[in-house]
Amino acid sequence: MAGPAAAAPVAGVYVAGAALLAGAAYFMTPAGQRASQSLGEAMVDGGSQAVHNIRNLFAADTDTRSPAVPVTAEGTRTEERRCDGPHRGRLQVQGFRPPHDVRPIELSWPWARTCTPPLKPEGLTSLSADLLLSTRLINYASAGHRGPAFSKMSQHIQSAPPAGFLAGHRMGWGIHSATGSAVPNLRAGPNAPRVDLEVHAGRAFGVR
Amino acid sequence: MLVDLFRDELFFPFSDYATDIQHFIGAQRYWLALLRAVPEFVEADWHPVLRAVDVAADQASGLMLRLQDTTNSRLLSLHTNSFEGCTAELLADNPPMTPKQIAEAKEKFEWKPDKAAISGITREHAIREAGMIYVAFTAQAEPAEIYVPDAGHPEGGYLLPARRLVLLSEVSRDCEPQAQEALSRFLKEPARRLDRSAPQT
Repeated sequence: MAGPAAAAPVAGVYVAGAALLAGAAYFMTPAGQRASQSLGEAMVDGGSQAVHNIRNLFAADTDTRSPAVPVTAEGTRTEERRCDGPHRGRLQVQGFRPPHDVRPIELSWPWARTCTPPLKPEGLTSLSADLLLSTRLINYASAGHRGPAFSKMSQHIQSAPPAGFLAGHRMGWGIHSATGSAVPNLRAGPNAPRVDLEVHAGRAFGVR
Repeated sequence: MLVDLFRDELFFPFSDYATDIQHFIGAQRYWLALLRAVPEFVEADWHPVLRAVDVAADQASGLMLRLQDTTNSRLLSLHTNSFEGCTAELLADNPPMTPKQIAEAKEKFEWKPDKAAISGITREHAIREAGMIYVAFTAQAEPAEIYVPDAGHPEGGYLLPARRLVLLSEVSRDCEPQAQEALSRFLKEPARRLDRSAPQT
């Protein structure tokens, strides 16, 4: 008379087997697949959130100290991550020589960058589009008189090494009154019409 | 005179500084000795400007010393000078122009280079031009700026308004007193001691 007692476990196996089959059948239905997908996404999201939290912990740790040199963490490419600033300096147009100049000229295109120095195209554009046009706006003859100095400076920027001109670099050309040609600033005489470049810190006008 | 002490030096008066490094070094020794002989020069106040030295460029311009005094906001650029140096500088500064440079000069800067500028000036042309522009001694004090690196500053440093003396002089009995006088007057100028707690950006 062991029939009912022995039948109970067997029935349990059948019930469990039926539940598994029903579960498998449910996951094969569209609703089941959506639920499965959501579950998978939730697991992935949870994992990435955990990783994100770890990163935030590290970030919070470093944020408490101010770095000696400003750094950037944007981007993943090496050249985007690198920060060798600060970069400071200026291009200038100066001098006064009547009758070419109606008044003393003092124009400047300065830069102050935390990480990325001004590159060669920017330097050339600032010289020809910014400073030259600004000089012309003051007086067209002033710009014309400084033409050889602008041209020399443009050639100088184009000749910059790949890393650019480094801190402490100074170069400029002035127009000599006797010859009308562009000569290095020291030879041009005091207050000569001139175009100058000064790199105070970092680099300028390289290719990267 | 200090110049008499250097008269027996092999390369005196160091006039080929632009093309011969021995002349350049000799001239540098002379200018350092002259600066130290100026009573107003306090050596402890002055430091070389930190920079990537380009010897070829320094030789061409005759740059002997570039010093800064951040305490009193002063800069000093001493250049040695000679007719030969001026000629060499003009020669190096006027190489032949490329067609692209010629086109750019005409179209962008409205400057029409002459034949000499296009083909690059010859030594004879450089000597002729040096004859027109050469001056044995010039000294000019002008406004300038000193960059002071400062890790605590939001931009990593700041610009300090300063006065700069640019001195260009031959090594000669005629020029030495003028150079000493210019240095002495510049160093006697009232110092602009700035408040470091409020740096100018």
